[in-house]
Amino acid sequence: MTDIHRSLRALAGEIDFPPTPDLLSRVALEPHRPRHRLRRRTIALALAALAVAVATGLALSPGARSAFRQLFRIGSVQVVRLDEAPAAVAAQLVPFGRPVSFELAARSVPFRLRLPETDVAPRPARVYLDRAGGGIVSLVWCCPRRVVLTELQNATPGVIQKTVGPATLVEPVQVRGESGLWVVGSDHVVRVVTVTGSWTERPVLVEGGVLIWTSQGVTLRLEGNLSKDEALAIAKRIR
Amino acid sequence: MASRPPAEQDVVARAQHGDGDAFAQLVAPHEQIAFRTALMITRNTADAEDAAQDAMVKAFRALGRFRVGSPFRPWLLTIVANEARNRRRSSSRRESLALRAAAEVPSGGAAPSPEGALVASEERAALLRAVEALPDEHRLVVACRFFLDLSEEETASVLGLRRGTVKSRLSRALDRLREAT
Repeated sequence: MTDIHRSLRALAGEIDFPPTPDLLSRVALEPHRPRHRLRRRTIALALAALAVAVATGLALSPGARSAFRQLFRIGSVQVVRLDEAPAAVAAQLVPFGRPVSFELAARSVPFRLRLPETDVAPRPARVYLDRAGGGIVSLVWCCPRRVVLTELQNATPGVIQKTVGPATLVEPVQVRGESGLWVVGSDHVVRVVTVTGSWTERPVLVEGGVLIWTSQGVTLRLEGNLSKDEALAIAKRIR
Repeated sequence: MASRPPAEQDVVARAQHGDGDAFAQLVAPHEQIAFRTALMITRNTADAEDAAQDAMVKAFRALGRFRVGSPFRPWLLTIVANEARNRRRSSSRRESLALRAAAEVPSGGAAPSPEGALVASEERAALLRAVEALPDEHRLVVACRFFLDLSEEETASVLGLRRGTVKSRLSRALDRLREAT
């Protein structure tokens, strides 16, 4: 330990901190049960009911089942289902583009970056910017679980293309009244079109799932080791 | 047979089911450090008190999102720090930390001479002034690591930084303190 370390440690014991006030007085005014828990349960029940209704509809409708195998478009993301698994799958989540500061990313895209409205989530640990399609920003939170939120304009359909095989489930969902897709499965490849117009293939292994939806002209893609309910609950708080 | 205190995760589970006493039990060991964390960020006692109290309310509401088995203190302190940062933005008043009076400082051995005590006291005051004069990004890392005795990982969580950033900022801060004292 160096002198400055020793001096600072000694100093810490000599600081005259104000006395600690009673921090729980306002908690005592709260309802008996944490409100968040009630909200989450309500949300989970509503989403579960919706998922059952959608799944039932799909199962009963041959037309829907056929569409289910072909092509889905959500904003600038296309999801193409193949009868066979797509090629190589890498064992990591790969954000698009190069690492930049949040501020640079925010300045570089023609839309307002969305962030989760939560009490505890700090700003993302890393931010990536890809120039394709007018700008694709990926925000990465690392702790306690790695979650990637990708954002891009709706105006460039197909700039991100997902190809999924038979082992991947693609399920329509609703996020705050907007159509979305919940994609979960082991054979799942993502391609991003580069600024020169050629395809750059980014194979990813999806451990949990991917939620894709749109919000006021922006396509959002939430990826990570999340259950569908968790992803939907997070998505509802992204504004 | 002697009964053991309940494990933190048992208390968390009870608090998550709305047991206010369990929440109080969970938070009690961390109240002092929560308040001091808020104080380091806001640099104002009243703001720190408000921030820490509001953070407790938010923590109580958000407890359903806390993952049982994860360490509770960094989760709580992160909420406190977020709340304190919000308060800091709305406040322009800054208070300086003070040292305790010499008679209150516990003696580690033989009493120093009056001259020696005076020199040591002046050196400590100079070091504290130097810490307070650091830019916030450096001051907060020093405060978390030395004044609050947070681990590197906790510091990163509280300040919303990567561990590597905490290390590099601390290194630069210590260099500046060596030059200033």
